[in-house]
Amino acid sequence: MDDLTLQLREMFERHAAQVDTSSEAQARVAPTRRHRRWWPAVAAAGVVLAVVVAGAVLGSRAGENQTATTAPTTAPRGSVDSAGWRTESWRGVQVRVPSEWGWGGTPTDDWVGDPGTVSDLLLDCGASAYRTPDGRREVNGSGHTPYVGRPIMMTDACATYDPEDPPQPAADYVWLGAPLERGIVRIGGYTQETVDIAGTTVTVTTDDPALRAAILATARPTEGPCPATVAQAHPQVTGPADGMAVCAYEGGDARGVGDLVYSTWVSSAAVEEFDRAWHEGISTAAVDCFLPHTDEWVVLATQSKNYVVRFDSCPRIVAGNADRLLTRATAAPWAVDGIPVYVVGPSGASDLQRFFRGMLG
Amino acid sequence: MGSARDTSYDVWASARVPALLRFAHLVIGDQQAAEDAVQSALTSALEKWDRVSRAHDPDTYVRRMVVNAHVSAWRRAGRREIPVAEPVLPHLADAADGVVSAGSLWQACARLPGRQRAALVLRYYEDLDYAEIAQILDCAEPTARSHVHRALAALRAELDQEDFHG
Repeated sequence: MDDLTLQLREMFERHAAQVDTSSEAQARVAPTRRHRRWWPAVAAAGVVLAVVVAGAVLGSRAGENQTATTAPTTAPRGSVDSAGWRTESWRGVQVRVPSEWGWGGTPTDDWVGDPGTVSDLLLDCGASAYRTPDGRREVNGSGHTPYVGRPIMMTDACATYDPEDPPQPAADYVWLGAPLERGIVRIGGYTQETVDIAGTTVTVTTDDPALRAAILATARPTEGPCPATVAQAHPQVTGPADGMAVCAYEGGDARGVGDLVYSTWVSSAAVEEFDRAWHEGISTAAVDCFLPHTDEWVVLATQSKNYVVRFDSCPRIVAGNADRLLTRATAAPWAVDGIPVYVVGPSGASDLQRFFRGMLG
Repeated sequence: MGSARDTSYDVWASARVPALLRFAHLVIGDQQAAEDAVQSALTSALEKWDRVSRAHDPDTYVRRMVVNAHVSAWRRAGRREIPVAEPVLPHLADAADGVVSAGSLWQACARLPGRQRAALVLRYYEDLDYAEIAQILDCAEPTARSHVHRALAALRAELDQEDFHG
């Protein structure tokens, strides 16, 4: 044994002796028991893919009457159904996932040189969970939390990797819109399957074949109340009969038509809270604003009314000719679930930080 | 969750969690992050306990999850230096010739790629043979040897350089 290996042994021993292994530390690491809640749904329905069928039925109902696809009966907010699944949408595709899953990014193309030129590598700027449904924020992402990812930079600390040698997953995930080839790839003990729905990829990675099949069976073109594309000036989104749809968009062509980034649902109690904040809010007519173009916006849609949240020099919520400044009171009822992960929000508004991602992720 | 399953898990966990915390801390270098990694690994193990306890050695499964967490974090960090807790010990021994400071060695370990650092911990703290290391790192035995070899070479190079620059 040489000096270095001897020193390593001594160093490891000494550090190990200092680790807190008290009963308190052991209690802190007790499992959180995040059950995969799709098994009870399957058992209750008595068929293997009951949850898929339920998703399809709920989805078609939503298409008929423009209600949220998964209006919950117990959850106060968030589009969680009675089987414990929720719908996630991106551009023109939607998929259902267990409601315990968090939100984060996916790898993207590694853009190099001239516009339109990509390398053979993929760029990972946060392909992991950055927020959990209970509101916990992971500054550097959590590799252990199952999540849904969208191709949005979560962090500016990026790394490239060879798609032929992808990182070993440590949790299940679904990626929407990741630049992967269709097909099945084995990564360690995990299987990654990518399909194409309406021109957008849906990638499911899990070590559980039944879960993979159940999720993939729910992938379909967007059919909830939030359309895949919408015009900022005249969104015309028909909200659900109960509660309010929250639809986040970005980009925008010459007509101001942008693409769906994320959608969720809030309950009628949240709508009441929002209504109160609206009535008590401040109009921008009383504030000195200049109003440049904004390339992300959120549509809040009840059955009778649309509000458009704009993030310009006067972050505000607009409904027809009326508006209200975006404040904690007017943001809190709807800036929930994945909104703080995917919507950059206003710049320089520190009191609104917890509701949005911010420029620096 | 059946009670027999819970009991089986609880018996295993109560015996193994302290060692897992120590292992995670050495691999990750930070108490908080180590606890997070162990908790995630235990949660995952409990969810699949029937399969994990039947098909795997639970220790191997959980330690693999901890290592994967560290490797993922290392990759996510853009392969930059990952901050680690300041070492408490000023030196391993008296500042005799050829004896590096504990702080330098700890920091040099922190800069190693995730699997290499984990391989060192498994080899020189857990005293595992290469077949066992390979099982935990989910790689071939020669790859496990290579991780250890490369890690030692990297440490020697870094510490030599530090020595050179004073």
